[in-house]
Amino acid sequence: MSCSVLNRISVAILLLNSALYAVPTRAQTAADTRPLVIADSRGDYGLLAPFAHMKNGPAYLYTSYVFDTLVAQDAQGNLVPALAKSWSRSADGLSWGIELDQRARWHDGTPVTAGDVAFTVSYMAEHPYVFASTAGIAGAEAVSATHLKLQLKQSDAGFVSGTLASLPILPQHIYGTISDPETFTQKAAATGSGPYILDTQDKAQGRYLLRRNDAYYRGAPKFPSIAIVKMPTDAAIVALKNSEVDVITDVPLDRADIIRSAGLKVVEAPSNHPMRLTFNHAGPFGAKAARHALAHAIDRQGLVDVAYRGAAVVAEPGFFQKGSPWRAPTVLDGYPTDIAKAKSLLTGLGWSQGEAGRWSRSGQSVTLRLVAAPQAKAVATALTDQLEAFGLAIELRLMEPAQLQEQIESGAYELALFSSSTMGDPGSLMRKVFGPAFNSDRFPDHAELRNLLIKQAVSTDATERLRILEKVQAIYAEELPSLLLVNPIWATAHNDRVTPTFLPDGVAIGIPMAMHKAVLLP
Amino acid sequence: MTGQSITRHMCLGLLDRIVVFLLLVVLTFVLPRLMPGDALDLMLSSDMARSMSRAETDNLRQSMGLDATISTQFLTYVTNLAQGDLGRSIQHAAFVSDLIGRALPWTLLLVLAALPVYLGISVVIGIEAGREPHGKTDRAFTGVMTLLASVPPYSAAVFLLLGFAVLWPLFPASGAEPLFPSPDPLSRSLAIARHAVLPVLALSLHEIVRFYFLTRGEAVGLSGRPFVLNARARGIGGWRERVNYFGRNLLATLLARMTDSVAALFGAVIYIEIVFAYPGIGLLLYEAILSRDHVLLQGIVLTISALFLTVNWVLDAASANLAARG
Repeated sequence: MSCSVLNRISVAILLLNSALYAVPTRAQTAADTRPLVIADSRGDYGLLAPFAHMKNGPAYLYTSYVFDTLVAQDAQGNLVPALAKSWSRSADGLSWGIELDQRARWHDGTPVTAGDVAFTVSYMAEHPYVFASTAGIAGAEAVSATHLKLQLKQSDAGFVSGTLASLPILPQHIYGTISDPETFTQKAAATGSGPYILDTQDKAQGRYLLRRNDAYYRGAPKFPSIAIVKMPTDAAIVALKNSEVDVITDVPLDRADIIRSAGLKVVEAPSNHPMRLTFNHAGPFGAKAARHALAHAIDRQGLVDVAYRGAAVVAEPGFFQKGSPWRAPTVLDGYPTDIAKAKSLLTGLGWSQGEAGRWSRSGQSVTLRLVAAPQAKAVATALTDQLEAFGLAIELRLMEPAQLQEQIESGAYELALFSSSTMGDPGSLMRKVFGPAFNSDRFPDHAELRNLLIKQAVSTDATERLRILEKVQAIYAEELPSLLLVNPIWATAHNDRVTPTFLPDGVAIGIPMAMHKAVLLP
Repeated sequence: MTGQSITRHMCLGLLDRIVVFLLLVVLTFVLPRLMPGDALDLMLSSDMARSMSRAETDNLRQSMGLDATISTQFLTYVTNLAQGDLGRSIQHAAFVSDLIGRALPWTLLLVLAALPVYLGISVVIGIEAGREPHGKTDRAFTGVMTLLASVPPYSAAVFLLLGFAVLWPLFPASGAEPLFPSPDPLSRSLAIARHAVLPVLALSLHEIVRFYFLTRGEAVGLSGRPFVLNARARGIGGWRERVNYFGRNLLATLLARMTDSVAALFGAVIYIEIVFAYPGIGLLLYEAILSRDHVLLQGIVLTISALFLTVNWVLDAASANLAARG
């Protein structure tokens, strides 16, 4: 091929390049008119409406931009007025009076009234909402357009932080005629009273465009519009560097340094969704000493180093994790790795170790079935290695949630491993410890713990409740209904346009995400 | 083959494909239901979901149509399917047909853009290499193609992404459009084309090798045939020889191979869309698997199958027609 032909090809390539680069991008437009772009690796979360969003934390969080609750959280996680301007409780804790903010409007301009709240309570009793329950409410009465009276079936210590702060209020004039809200996916379903209005949703590309609700009763939101876009993490990092994206909600911690070296910011915090090792209490781990032995046999820092390469911290055994407002400052020893002690505890239970180091129980060699969710693969593998080295034969099986659920409910396992939330109001602790669900500890009755859990759930005194929870924490750490192993660290990357913060007890129902609604408000 | 027998062949072919499709309908209904749990169990498996009472779960199960007997569910499924209703994806809160309708055009864009690219390149260089077996051109092209054949297709996609989107960022690394598409149709089309370059190239590379070896093999055979030797002796060469003597005689073989190629393309497009986060049906399928969205999964499988069986039938009929012409 002659030089002139090569030259012509080069010129053509250069021309094509310049033509392609001539396509205008939003990065070149003024920064203040640009939407706040939130990159999320997971994509489409369904319609941003209470019954139509996907049933996971991010979907709930993004829906909260559109739908307000009665009570909200500020940037530090404190409870602050939202649709409810004020609230008061009767001395017995059974009656609540709620005064609504009369400035609140639905996105179509209709005023938000006490009738809407009463409607939401009755509607959600008929159409259960996965993330908030109205089951504890005996009745809701709209005394006037802005005054509401709620009657509870029993006193509920977590009523404000648990129910009022997580129950999205629905517009009666829209949902009143809807008998099947799960299939109500027209845009009207996303008529909320929140700071942002759903403008467009591109399901194919996993993108949402929300515009500012200029008439928002708590003051005009900071950004004129918000775009939530699906983008693989590495592409999002490049886009963040190019100012095309402002926030990446979920960044693997090993990319944090690359992002920081580009002059951008990364905010990180323990997720307080630790990996929890639960026991089949009907099997060999029904004995507390066996659970203690296992806790001492496991090197949890080793799990952090191997399975997470440092992107996690060792979890605390008393259920609540560091940073939680419910955690008592009691220092728990946390079962340091102590193989000799583990062996002595098992020997005390009649277990014996053969010549090859394998453990036997009642003359039978022990093989433990460890079932785990696929997301727990790395830590399950590292745990298997540690327990095998200790002399316990492990049969590891990774399974999808439905299969895992069936396996645990059938009792065909000794150990189960999955991620589990320790955030949110502890009113639900009873079901997390004693409940029949597969992701509960399924702990056999323990009178003292049960009584304490009931007492804290109905306590009307916040200080007393914390004192009870301190005892709960100590008993949980001692009894080990389950063993919390490692607490992964979650990170969010951002530029100077926005300052995301992780809340100590998560967002509303305990979602460990930094892009909560308070970040968007003045 | 006579005209009548061609019609018979086509009718039988159509019948075969309808039977295969009906079998798929049954399979896509039965398989997800053999797995433990149902859509409601999956929906409530988030650890942040609250504990629901039996009455509440029964209520939800009823509204999701999961409380009916398996035969009733199948009857509803088939009736809906006959009306073009592929069901609703709970996760996406949308009709499956709507989700597929939005994703399919992007996949078709990749497949239809890749088709002329790989066919053009592989046929031209295949003929070039095969018309003079073991010559310099043949050795060079066959060497390069052997090298390319040893690269797994997904690696090729990753290499293209790293090379031309990350290290030398000539093209976008992901998506089908910029975050905020331009309102100007021309600029928007250019941006879409720019986003499609690397995925189309990756998809084409997958097929270029297969079609190169096919074309070359056929061309080697043709180059020894008397009519080609005779033509060359008469001084026929250049484009006339390549198009009329090689190209036309390769048409039937290429068309026959195309039926197989369409299936391979739809297989390849899945991982190419995953690598480039391209919002087509492959990525939708992948996400449906990850989120265990069985309704969407069966909808996509049925749509791809119907599409594939139709294309396959048309190509088969075209091959039969060509064969009939001799």
